[in-house]
Amino acid sequence: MTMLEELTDPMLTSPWVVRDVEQETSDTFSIRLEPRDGDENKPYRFRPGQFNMVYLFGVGEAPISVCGDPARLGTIRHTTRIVGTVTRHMGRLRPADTVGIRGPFGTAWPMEEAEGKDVILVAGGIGLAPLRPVMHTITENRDKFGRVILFYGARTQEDILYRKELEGWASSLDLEVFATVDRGTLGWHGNVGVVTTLIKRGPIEPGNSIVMICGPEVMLRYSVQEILGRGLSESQIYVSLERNMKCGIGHCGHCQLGPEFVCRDGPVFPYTRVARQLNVVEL
Amino acid sequence: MLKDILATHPLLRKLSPDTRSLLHDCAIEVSIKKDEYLLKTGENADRFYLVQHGSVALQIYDPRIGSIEFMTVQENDVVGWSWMFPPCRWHFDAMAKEDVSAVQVDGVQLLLRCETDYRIGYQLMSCFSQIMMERLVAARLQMLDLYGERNPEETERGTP
Repeated sequence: MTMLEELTDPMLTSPWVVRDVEQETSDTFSIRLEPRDGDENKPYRFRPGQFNMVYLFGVGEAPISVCGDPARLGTIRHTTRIVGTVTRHMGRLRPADTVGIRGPFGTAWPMEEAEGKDVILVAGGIGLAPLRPVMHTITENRDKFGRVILFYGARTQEDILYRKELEGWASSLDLEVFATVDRGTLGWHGNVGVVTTLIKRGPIEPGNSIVMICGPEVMLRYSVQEILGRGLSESQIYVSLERNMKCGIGHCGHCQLGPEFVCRDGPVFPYTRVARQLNVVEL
Repeated sequence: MLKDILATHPLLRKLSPDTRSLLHDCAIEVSIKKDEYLLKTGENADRFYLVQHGSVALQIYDPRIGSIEFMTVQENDVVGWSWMFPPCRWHFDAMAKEDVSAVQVDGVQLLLRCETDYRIGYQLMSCFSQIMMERLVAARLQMLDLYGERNPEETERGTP
């Protein structure tokens, strides 16, 4: 079976080799994957916001957002946090280990719709990972987008993800980065408070803007409230949701959210499509 | 200049012209150097600040750790509302994180007017209630520790 045929079967994993593992914070790490020898022409492409099912042989499978640069073909980067069995074992991966990949799955951030508009990104915690490809796409095609504003909230300064990259974006003259931490600790001189407080005073001009939000669902709901309070409409907002995704193709139903399957119809949704469901308890 | 600041400040948008005029009579522009304190816990709460430029750390002092910043207040934010409520003592410290320019308003005079003119009192209370609500929501979200330890049964995708 050729690699192309492999990818046409969404339930079949393809083997990828760990090139390096980078510790991002105390409980969060990134892995970079490369094709196995002989598979270098593997046609892996993804769009910002999509995810892979990452399979650890003998352990299990977990859905992880792809957080690399969509323009860099041939490698896959995942950032994840240790929250369960699979990610705990993922944290023990070493270069040259092999993992199985199915994907990419799901919907993407609306990059084409964002062209010509101001782009407002709101990320909380590890929610920055699924938005990282958006930042890559924007920085590589900077003239296609208007003002770019990133609001990012982390738990403490030690939990800030991609710190060097954030500092690089912040020092860029044509990107505006506002970071905050929930808890100020010694040595942190930046903003303290939840990310929603940044939205309240950020330099937002509602007219020609598009908003992409990724983070814990509570943060997401309150961020939407603040965005609406700044004069934007629900139709300008996109959110990335997380549910218990298993099959990745909308067959098993584990990730069902009302009429939607998050793995197939999401994870990126127009807010208008899921606004009602987000306020239903236990959905 | 002061008049312009009060006329355009988001917090004061809904005030009537006479209430804004009263504020103007009670207000002065001030500069606070980096690391200087605007307020100290336990001291007499007799004023509030409308921050124009710079940022202010709201802090609690813990003898084991030192000063813990729990919120940063910035341009167009307000520092201080304990002047409205007996016993009119500051509950927290407020320290300039950088050079700050602000409008300082005499809370004692304002409070006296509020006691005799309920219309002014209502307008000011409406303004400050809005801030209190926003701070309460923010504090509750902070308490939830949204990015903290998670239930192992939660999913493992790259999003939180």
